[in-house]
Amino acid sequence: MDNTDKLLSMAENLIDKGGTSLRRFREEVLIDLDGRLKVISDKIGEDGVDPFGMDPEFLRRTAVAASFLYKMYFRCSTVGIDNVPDGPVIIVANHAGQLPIDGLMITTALIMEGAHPRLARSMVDRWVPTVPFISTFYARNGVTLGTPENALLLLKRGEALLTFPEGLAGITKTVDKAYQLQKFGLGFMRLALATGAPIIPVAVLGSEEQYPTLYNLESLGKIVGLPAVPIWAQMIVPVFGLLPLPVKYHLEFGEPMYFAGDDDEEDATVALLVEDVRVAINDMVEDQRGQRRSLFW
Amino acid sequence: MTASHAIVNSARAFPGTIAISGAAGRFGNLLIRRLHRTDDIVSIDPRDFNRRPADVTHFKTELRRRECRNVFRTGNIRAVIQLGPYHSQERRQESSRFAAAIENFSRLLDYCDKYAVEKLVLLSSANVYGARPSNPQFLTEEAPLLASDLSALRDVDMMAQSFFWKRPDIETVILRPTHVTGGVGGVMARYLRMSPVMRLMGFDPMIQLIHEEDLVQAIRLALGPGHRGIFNLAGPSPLPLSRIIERLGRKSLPVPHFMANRLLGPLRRLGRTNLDPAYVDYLRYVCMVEDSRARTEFGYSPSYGTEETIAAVDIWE
Repeated sequence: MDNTDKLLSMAENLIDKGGTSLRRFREEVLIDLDGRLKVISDKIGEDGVDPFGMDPEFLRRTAVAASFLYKMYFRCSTVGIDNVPDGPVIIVANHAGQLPIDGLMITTALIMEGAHPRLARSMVDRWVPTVPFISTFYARNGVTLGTPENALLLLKRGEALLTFPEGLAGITKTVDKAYQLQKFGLGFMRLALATGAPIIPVAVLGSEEQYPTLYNLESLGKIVGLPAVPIWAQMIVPVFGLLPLPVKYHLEFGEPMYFAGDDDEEDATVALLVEDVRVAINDMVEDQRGQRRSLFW
Repeated sequence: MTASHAIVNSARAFPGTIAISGAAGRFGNLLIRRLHRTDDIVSIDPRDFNRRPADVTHFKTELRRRECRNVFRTGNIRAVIQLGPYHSQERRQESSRFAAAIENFSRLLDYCDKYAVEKLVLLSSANVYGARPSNPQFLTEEAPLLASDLSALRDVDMMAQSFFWKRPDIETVILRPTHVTGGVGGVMARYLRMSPVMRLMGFDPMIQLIHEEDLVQAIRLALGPGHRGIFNLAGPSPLPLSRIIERLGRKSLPVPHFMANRLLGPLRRLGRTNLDPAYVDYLRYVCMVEDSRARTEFGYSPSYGTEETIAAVDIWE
């Protein structure tokens, strides 16, 4: 698979060289993980990939590295995971932090924490398939281009969708706008109305502080073809400044929200329903922020 | 070849005489061999067709020539199968090749209109949708045709679509199969025969292949009474390009995508690849189709599995 899995191999090497405690961590994770991934890989035929290009073998390697980030680096604390039902479901969360680590944490939580492990299928923007390596890495891990056709097909197959309706406006926010939810897209609600799939609102804390971003060089981004070129605080530290700050992540999965109606309703009507979800997420975010004692523990 | 697999049909596919246009090509040859025992076939092609079965009359002519009109005027032709836009292997300029393809097909539509043809089957391709980053994983027949580099294929497909309303009484069928494997000279099959196989570094799209015998079977089914419209045809479940190359036991030659178009010329001259520049994007983005309409409407179902369909790349006479 040419060099698409280089980063993974590097992560695996780091874990190998990281001493006995890390190796033990990996072995422990794998014992748990293999049982959990079996639920996901059993659905895949003998071809080894699903129609979207998700490869359980690849996912397993990613999940080990992701578990390290989840358990040790970001020490993620997750509540309400059992609110996620079986069958088709749309998971909706707030988005921040320049890199979609929030998506990775939610996906890892759904695999590692729940009584019924699930693979969340993230929906990404259409510039992602144009990026070499990333596009392939994403596809092997079950990430899909966010078109209505793809979303409908995945829900029809009983999968869990993960969407961030704030999109780029959310993830590229600067630090002064932290925890101000941006405008939500309407697509996820039309999907919910069309399929009857429940919506699980999720609040993420920590993503806002991983890369405290002071400024966004949008004009440079236009030249190099990236949606954003953020300048973040820890950049003054050479090399290590590229890493996210090891903030503590908090995830809260809310209760399922059911919506009924016409999926072809005009935007203003759908926006009212979307507002319900936005408020639900905002309430959970504010609640979690009130309980948080420190950014790091 | 896994001939045991080929579906043996004893019933006629179509009650009248069938003209196959483009029959002297590799796929046309196969299609004729599968149809001539049960059906009355004439073949039309500007190329020589010496390997045809004895009971098939061959008209060596382009569709736009006057003698071709005579074939339709007197030949009692009730069905036409048009195999793709190009039937000439002359090394003409691209612009005149394009003009010839369009002119030929528009003349064919004219014959269908005038000489009591009841069924027109156009073998188009799923490639007409174009390989684009915004493509959904599976395209339906309603998706726009965005393959800007395959203009003749796209225009011929569109001309057939406008024929739907011009002659609603003629059963027009447009088939859009994914990459065909087998002894036929499909672009992807020819490309996969090279070793090493050129690829784009960091890109590994999901690819659908269809076995040539499954395509023959789909055409046979589409000739059945009452079927009309546009039908995607996919083979067995898709695989990433890299897995297909692995299963063929070949090595990849990864090149950076931003240099692919510049490298293609030298690589072709060196004989390292035979990929048409118009198909580079198909190594980068998905262009896969959803074929449930063909499955429900005329009962199409691929009988060749993943392994056999991939292995058929190496069938080469």
